[in-house]
Amino acid sequence: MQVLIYGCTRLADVLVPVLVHDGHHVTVMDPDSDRLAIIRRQTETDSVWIADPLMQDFLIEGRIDTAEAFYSLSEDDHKNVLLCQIASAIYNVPRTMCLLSDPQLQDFYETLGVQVLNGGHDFLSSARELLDR
Amino acid sequence: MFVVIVGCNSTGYHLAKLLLVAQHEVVVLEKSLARCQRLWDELGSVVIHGDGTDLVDLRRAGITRADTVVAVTDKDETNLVICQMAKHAFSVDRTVATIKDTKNHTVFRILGVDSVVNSGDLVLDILERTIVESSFNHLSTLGDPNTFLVSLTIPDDASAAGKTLGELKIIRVDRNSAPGSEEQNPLSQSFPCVVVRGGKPLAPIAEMVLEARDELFAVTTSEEESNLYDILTGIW
Repeated sequence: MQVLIYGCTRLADVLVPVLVHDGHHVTVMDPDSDRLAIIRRQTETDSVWIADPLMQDFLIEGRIDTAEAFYSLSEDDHKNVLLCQIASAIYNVPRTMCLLSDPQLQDFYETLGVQVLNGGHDFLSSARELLDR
Repeated sequence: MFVVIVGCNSTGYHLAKLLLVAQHEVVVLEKSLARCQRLWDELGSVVIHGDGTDLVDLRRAGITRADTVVAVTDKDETNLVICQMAKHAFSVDRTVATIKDTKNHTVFRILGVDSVVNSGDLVLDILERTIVESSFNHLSTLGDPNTFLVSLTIPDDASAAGKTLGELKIIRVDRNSAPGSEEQNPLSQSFPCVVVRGGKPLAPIAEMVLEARDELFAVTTSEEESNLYDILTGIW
């Protein structure tokens, strides 16, 4: 499956090798080129260096238009919310998942039908489940 | 009207002052305590210290009875979260967000924000107008970011001056009154709305003769804008 991930956080460090091992084609985007270099060295993955994730041109560069799944895993809850909704509303990505650390935002966006990832101990299994749907 | 403004940067601050002068009820929610303390002296208790993306703080600001919520923080994504909370958690009638990235306009509208104001675009537009004199004044976008209301003062040397709007083909000539003119208008998405001559507004009709220094207001789209400009200034 064609998977696009925004945010080279610790969660991505864990998730990317697992998804690659599962046989998915993973592209990672992050504004920080150093963090991308690390993940690129550890795993076989395409990575895209981006200046501002909210500029949709960069999402295109990460081939969001053909992505079958999109994870937004940055440290910024609001950015994750916007990016996930751009992915599903504008680019019709069928599976999106949004990392939210604020419990209030988790509840609120779950009621709006956004797939929320909470970064807890079961994060890896919930993240992988998304691709089974 | 009761308006809750989230974010008290220069936009939020000036908007609050304008609305207060116009006798509206206003509450401003600002996250930075330092900024709040500066504002309390001037605006008083209308400024509340709190996070506009926190349901409890929003409720404290009285959002449950707000008619309009305006999100003017410096981040597009935060403004989206504020408007979505106002709309879906508190059923606020009208939500307004400012954005910096033009491309967010469409997604914000799809996601239910009632009005999206592109502050970046407005500034760019004014800068462009200041630097490049020969273009329309962009007054407002109409629903879609590519459709706008523009105005232009007909230049003294324009070849369009002295011609009728029908001759310029910016108003369709009624086929019944002008048999034989089957020609289509070159512009299908541009419409003159009003002509202001000597301070008086006149309704644009096909027979109206355009004069130099007339100020013409028209609706046009990004594709047709330059064509319309050429027709009106007579470069064609």
